[in-house]
Amino acid sequence: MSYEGVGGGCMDEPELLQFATERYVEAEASAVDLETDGLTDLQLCAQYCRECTVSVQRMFHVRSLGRVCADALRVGAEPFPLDLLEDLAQDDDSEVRQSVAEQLGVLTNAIKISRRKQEDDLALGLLNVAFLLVEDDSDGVVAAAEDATATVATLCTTGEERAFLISRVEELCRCEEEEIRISGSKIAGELAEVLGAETTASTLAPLLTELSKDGALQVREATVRATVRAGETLRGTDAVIQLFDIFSSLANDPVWSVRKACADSLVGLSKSVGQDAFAAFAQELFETLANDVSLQVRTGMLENLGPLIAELGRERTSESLVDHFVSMAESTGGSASGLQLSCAFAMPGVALTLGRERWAEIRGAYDMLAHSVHWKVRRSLACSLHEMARILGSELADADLVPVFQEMLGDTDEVSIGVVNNLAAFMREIPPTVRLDHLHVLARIATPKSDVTIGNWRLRAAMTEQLGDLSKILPASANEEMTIPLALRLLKDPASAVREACIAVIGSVLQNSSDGSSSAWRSGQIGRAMSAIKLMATNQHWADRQAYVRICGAFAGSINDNVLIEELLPLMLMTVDDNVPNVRSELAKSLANLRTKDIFAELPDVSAAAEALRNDPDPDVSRHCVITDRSKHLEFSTGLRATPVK
Amino acid sequence: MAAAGGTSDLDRMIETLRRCEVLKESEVKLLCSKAMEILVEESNVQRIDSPVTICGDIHGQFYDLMELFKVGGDCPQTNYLFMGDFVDRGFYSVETFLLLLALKVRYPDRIFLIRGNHESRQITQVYGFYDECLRKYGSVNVWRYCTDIFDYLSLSALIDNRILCVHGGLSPTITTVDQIRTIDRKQEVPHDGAMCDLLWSDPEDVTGWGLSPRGAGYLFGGDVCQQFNAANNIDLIARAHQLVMEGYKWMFDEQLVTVWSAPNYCYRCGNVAAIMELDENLGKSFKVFEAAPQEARGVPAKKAAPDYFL
Repeated sequence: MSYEGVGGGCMDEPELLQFATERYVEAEASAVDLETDGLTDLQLCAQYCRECTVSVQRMFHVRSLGRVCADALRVGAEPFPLDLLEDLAQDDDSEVRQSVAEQLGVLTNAIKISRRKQEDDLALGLLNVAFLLVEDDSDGVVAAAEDATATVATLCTTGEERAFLISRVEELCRCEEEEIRISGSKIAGELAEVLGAETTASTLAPLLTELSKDGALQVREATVRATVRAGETLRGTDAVIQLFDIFSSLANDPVWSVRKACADSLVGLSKSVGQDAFAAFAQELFETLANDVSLQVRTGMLENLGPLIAELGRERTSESLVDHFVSMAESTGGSASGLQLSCAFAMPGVALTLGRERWAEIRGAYDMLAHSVHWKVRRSLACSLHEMARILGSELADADLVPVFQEMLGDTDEVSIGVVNNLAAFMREIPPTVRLDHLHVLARIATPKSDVTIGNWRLRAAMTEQLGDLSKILPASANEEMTIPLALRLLKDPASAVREACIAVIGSVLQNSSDGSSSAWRSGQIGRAMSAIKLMATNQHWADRQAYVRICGAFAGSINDNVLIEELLPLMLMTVDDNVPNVRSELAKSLANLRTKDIFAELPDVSAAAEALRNDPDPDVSRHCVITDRSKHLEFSTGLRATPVK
Repeated sequence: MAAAGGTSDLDRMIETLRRCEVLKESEVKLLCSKAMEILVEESNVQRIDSPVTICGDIHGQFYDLMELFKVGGDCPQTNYLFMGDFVDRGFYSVETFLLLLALKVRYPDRIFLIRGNHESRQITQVYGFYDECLRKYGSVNVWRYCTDIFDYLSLSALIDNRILCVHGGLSPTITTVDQIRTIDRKQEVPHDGAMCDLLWSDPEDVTGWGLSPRGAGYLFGGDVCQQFNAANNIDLIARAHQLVMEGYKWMFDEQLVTVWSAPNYCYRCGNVAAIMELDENLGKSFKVFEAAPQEARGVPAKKAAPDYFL
């Protein structure tokens, strides 16, 4: 027999056992252990950063630098360690350099808070570190530095600093190296918000126009995203047209990957203009990109169609756009899985936008997706089934969603748990009579494989959590026939987490199933359920007795108080003498819960039990007993102890 | 306000650790000093009353330990005995050991920890715990606090005088349970001798004793086990230490059982894990469970990817 683990290839069992059998070894500790006396945290951190030879130890201190530095700046006694940062930015280890880049944002904010900028020329110093790291050889360092630069730029407040910043960005954008122009383009987009609309229009927009004509395709790709970012800053200004022109020209780029970047970013342009202007622009560009000669571009555009429709709204969404959306569900071949998943993912948003009136246009697509061979597609629909029912209303949900619901409950665990998590919410949206037709499936889900093999306890726990709400919307007869027996079965589940979930809901299930009369608790299915629960109190297995006292504690507030007192409390109080302390400690907790209500606190038997537990030899039991002397002058007795406690 | 190291501090530490977040170094120091006060009082053969749930190796697989508690019940509602090897190999040895230790300090009668061969200064420097402490704390201090505590962990447990629990197995120098009681355990695990053997030995289909391929401890056969159990009037030896693909394995005519509680060991072995539940009459039942799914392994604060767009 062979086993395939998560991290590696196949190993047969003897190989695995050999791998898992360690040998005795001897080792020498190799970490740096510095004396801390007399050093500030920042000095100590700096020393570790410079001296550690064990890589993981050094990285800890490099990664702590931002926080330690921020703390030191807050106190205000130490100079900002720009020299250390400059050294670490040129470290041989790319992880160290990346970490420095990642902390530039934290350091910038710390400088702002401590208002130290005026004292030192930190803005230019940190910008230099950032730009040094932008030109690094390691992709991780560059990406972190690109992200940090706009934050560091917020330190630039003087004209001189801003002029330096812009000139450095221009240098990056006009550098001979393609990689650096890519970084320049990304940074230009992110800087728009920092520099404001006026500078963006006068400086960055011309720069982006220039980059949109760059000979390197990756520069043009980056420019697409930068244009969208800059557009957000220029919203409502005339200059935004300039950016739309850049975007349009890139959407007609001869290279498919640039056009795909446009397809991926088109929705983002909605933040630059009003809805009408965006609709006119986007619909035209959508048609161009969705009918592109390149499969990747067409796929990219379709994958963004759901959010685009949501952005356009019902009135502005043409039949043609909906046809494209439907075509995603119909897709076959290599890209089918991704397109179908995007379509399923966006389905509730699109359905909500189009409304019930236009459901017929996408109903076929929904049905097709519900029968997709790809489980992730079905899972997405399963997770949103209750939202779809709410959007479509009872009649359409019954006709079009219930068959899907039924199939999904019988699907694989990954799919069915999506439905089960929102079972009651879905049931609430369909006609009451229809709800009853599908309850039998729940029993199958609630049954574990065996008492030994735990299996998918999460699915069973998820279903258990639904029983309370479910019992509210089902008729008493259905609860008696299905919900109550199911809850009783789940109370004995092999997984503790499922039993816990059931203890929390079973009171509501029984209360919702009763007609409110106390006789209902002594007859019929509810009476039988109470008998089954009461049997747990005297079960020879301690876990059942513990579950019983916990159920009684959880019942307070969810079932009729008198029923609890008359039917369950006597057996509960008997466990005060249980020989297993875990039962008694849960009794103590449950009693503490009951005693928050006067009707229980005033019962002499309850007080007597609490007193006994307070004197329990096991400290885990007695610690739960906060004695409040509320039981004077009482006459009621549960029968277990005839004499009221004085 | 509660005194430092009081129950409210401990409860807060337990909540932090349950979220798989590390404690501050000063908190670890405090926790370890409290733990030492408790563990020093425990015998080399810690007496435990049933009911109790017996667990094998965990090896820093924090999220699988959470799975174990979901299956077996939380502590202190359920009593637990962990038979060592809390650390090394997995990604979260620090959080795993400190959570178990914090539970021990908070509920000393509800959870018992005995020492495994990985609770050692030597082994942890090779198999991950040492590096993990450096990665998470930047110094060796937390590793020192923890390895100092390892020296105080008990070597074995005896449940209702009928079931002996030990990490590895038997030793040729030990024929009675009382002999285990005489060991001076407060030291680093030695390379040989009785204490080493209890933590390193393995049962094997041999007669008598054999050399262990591990370089420490011995292999012992069914006859050795049978004689030991008969001489000490015990029914069963429960131990861990060896990966069992099915989670648990009976040997020697049900006189010995191996329990393994790290599912998909090292995140690659594909095995299931088990715990052995003993009720108050020493009735045994096993619970076999799988590794926590990927979505249960994330940082709780991190927002899960949405399932649909609305």
